[in-house]
Amino acid sequence: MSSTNTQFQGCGGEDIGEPRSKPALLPVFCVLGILFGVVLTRSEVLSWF
Amino acid sequence: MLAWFNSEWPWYVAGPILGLFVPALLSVGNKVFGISSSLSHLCSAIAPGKIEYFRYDWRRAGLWNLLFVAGVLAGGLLSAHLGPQHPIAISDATQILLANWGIHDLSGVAPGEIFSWHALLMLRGFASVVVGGFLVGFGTAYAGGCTSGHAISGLANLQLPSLLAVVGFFAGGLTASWFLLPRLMGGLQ
Repeated sequence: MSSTNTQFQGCGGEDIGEPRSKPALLPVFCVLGILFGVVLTRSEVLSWF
Repeated sequence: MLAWFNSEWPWYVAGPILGLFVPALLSVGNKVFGISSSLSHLCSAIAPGKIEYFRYDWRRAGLWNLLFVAGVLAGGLLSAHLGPQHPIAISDATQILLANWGIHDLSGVAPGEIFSWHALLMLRGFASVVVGGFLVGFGTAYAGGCTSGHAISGLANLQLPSLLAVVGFFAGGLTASWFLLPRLMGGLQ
């Protein structure tokens, strides 16, 4: 689950290799999240009932 | 352009775009796409520090993940408010089935008779939200990732554990839909 507790890597939420979490990149992750949320909400997946 | 944005995007458009967030996060900062880790980082941030599992540097390990998930929530709200309000498409047969279970309010994205504060005081609401939420959390921690981490990131990384987890997600979902849910909803009204 987290980078400190997961038993194997590559399944979400962690760093691969050398972390490059520069503070300047943090807004970029937020923007990517906003775009992801927009795409998810616009998709027809909400009608899959 | 605006008409296209206002329409519902089919799976063959939205799916690949969602998948492209995996290489986007990797190329931007060597990050693996995932959602559930944010809950662990959130607990690490607000926990008193006596729980060993949550005792790590959440800022270094997960601040980016928390910001990403906050962005997802903000993007969803933004899109829902700016875009058109599509009614949830539910087939007549499903509506009849839900009505037999006492579920008539189908106006939101989730039935209010189950997912609401008031419903928490009833057995089926409590079972669905609290017990179901615990099982989702336990399964995510036990499997080392949730549906987004395993099905999107893990499968893209050709991880066998992720394939097994995804098979388990679908097997569990089908079992719950066909066997558990009818007994839960039909018997706990």
